[in-house]
Amino acid sequence: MEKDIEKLLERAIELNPKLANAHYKLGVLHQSREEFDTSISYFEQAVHLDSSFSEAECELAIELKRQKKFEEARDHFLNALEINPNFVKAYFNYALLLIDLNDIEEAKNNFDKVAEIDQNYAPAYYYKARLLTNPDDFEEARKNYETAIDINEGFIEAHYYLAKLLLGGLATNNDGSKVDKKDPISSKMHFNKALELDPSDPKPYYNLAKILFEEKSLKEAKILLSKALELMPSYSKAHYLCARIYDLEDNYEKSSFHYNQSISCHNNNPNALFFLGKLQFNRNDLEEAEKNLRLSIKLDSQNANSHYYLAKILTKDKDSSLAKKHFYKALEINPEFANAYFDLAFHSENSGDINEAKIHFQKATDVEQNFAEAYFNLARLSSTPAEYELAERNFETALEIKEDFDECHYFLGKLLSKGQRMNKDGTLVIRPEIERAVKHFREAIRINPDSYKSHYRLGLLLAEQEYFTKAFDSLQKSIKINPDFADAHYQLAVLLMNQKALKEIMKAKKAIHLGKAKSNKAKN
Amino acid sequence: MCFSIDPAYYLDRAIDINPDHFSATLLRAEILIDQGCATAAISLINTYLSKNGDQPELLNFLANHYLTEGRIEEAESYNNKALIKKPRSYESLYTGFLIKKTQGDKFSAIHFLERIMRDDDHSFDVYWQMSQLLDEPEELTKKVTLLEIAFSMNARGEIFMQLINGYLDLIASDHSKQNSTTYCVQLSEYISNPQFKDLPKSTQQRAYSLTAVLKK
Repeated sequence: MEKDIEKLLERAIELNPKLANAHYKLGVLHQSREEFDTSISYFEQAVHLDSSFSEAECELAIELKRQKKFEEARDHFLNALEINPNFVKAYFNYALLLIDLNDIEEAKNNFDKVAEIDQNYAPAYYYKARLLTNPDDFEEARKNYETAIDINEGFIEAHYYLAKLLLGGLATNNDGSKVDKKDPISSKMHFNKALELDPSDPKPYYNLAKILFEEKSLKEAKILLSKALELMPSYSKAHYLCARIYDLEDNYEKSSFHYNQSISCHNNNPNALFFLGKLQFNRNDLEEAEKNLRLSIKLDSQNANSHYYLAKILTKDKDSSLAKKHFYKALEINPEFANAYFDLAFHSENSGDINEAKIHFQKATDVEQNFAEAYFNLARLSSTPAEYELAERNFETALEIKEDFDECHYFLGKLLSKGQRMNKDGTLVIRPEIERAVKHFREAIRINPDSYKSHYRLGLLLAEQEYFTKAFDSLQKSIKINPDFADAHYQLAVLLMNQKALKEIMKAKKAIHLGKAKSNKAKN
Repeated sequence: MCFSIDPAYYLDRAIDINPDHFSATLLRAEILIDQGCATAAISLINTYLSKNGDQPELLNFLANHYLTEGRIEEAESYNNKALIKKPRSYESLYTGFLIKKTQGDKFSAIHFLERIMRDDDHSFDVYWQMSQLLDEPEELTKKVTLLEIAFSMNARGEIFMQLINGYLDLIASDHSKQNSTTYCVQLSEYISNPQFKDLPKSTQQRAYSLTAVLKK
């Protein structure tokens, strides 16, 4: 049939070579056969023969656009629209050309023009929505996608991209401030609709998995990701998300496998490289971790976390400046990075720069006001008598935030039991607060009964207060928990060399022994 | 719960766990000396010193031990080593004093006590010991001054008696009577001290008569 039409049209041209419509029809015929070069020559002939042939102008422009001859295509679209100012197809394809020419605003205007002429032209709404990427245009984009879907319920791409828009939710208020308009429920619905229309597309599976991942439904997310990867084994993003899930589940083997797959499917993948590096860091595979974190930084130098983890690895290097460089870079990118200040402080302390360490612990508490460990370490380093009050205040702040901070109770107990502070006139005063110190050591023991150091310190204070039996018991507990704690053995000896203490301890132990013997006798 | 009440048991454990535990080593050595096991104590200290280098406190311990045993040369040698490490150590300077005193070297013994005083002028023992070394007539004024200080720190009867005798000797030896009034005033104050009644009658008599003469 088609061949017959072709023959008839060719015959018509033979009879009248100036028959523009026959040239046009032959062009359309070749176009449908994807014989684009041939079709172009027929369309050219048609417009040559009839300068008011808008359809031929439009089809010629479409073919020139396909051949990436954009300027020539633009001229022919404009010719078509000059001839027929209500030519929807010309406006629509001209708008698509303008996208290629990166003239987005003009493209949007042309899609508007299409919708003005034909309110039911779904692709115009869809493509316009695709161009509305600015957070200010969130609502307009949403409306355009929804209109496209209202017109054509089976518009897969519209469902998919509307779902993506709702998943991102990046929008602005009337005053220009950012607002999160994320709508995971509607997003899920549209991804599911896209899957219903085309179950062979892996992307909706991946995006649905992403929503489930954020909802912490890891098991369900994994099922969807396995479907996505079944459909497209080289789907880098799906591998990445899969790896993140296994990472959270502490499945090192599988997460490592998927991070590597993600990277091999898509080389330019700083996030996967970062998380793989972090994973290897946590597994103490520092050499590999360093390699991947460096690659991640090479691809994305603005990832504060990559610099932070690399810095943590480099703290083991003899040259302390290497780690510092990356800690500082992480803080330059993210000045609110409390953990970076915290670890930089430890690094400074280990490098022997206590003052710098104190500054960084202080900074960590400025950024993260509830950072108990930072307050604790700041107090721990404030060890001179002049800093007594500062140390006491910071230990107490740490304990206000984290009541069950056993180490903090222990250190505060130590500070109070030494009681070395400076008077306003600069003279040294030794004013131990034994009762408070005892309270904190007891609290440390309540939280962590295995804190042999707390038992030890408590024992020393009790001995000082002449509670010799209690002191003996406390020191005994210390060596029971840690039999290799030489200081506790030594202090036991010192205690037992005190004749008064020895007498009291022996008396108490004898009483206990007798009590036990009596109770055994009673039982028998 | 099974436990020991023998300090030596705990010290041995502390040293087993940490052979470099200084305080445990020193205390264990002291106990061994008290138990008459000097060889074991010295061996323990020497083991520690060979591993950790010269520690002034342990060197002083050895110096004291050899001094007690009458092995003065060895005591002096360890004391010198200790003082090289820690020239202002009260304990080592005091051991140095004891060594010199034993050797009868009064000048050097006093010199050691003066070195202690330069850093620590609150030690009763130093004033007392120095006062005991001064036995020449021309040293009597200094001796009485030292006894005054020692008595202000420790009001022991023995010191009080030496102090009163010192004043009596000073008044007796003050032929020109230049300072006798001052001495008498001070002696009168001590007569009103309750401890005065515990002194021998002859001393009391002598004090009363001298102060009575001077009052006239």
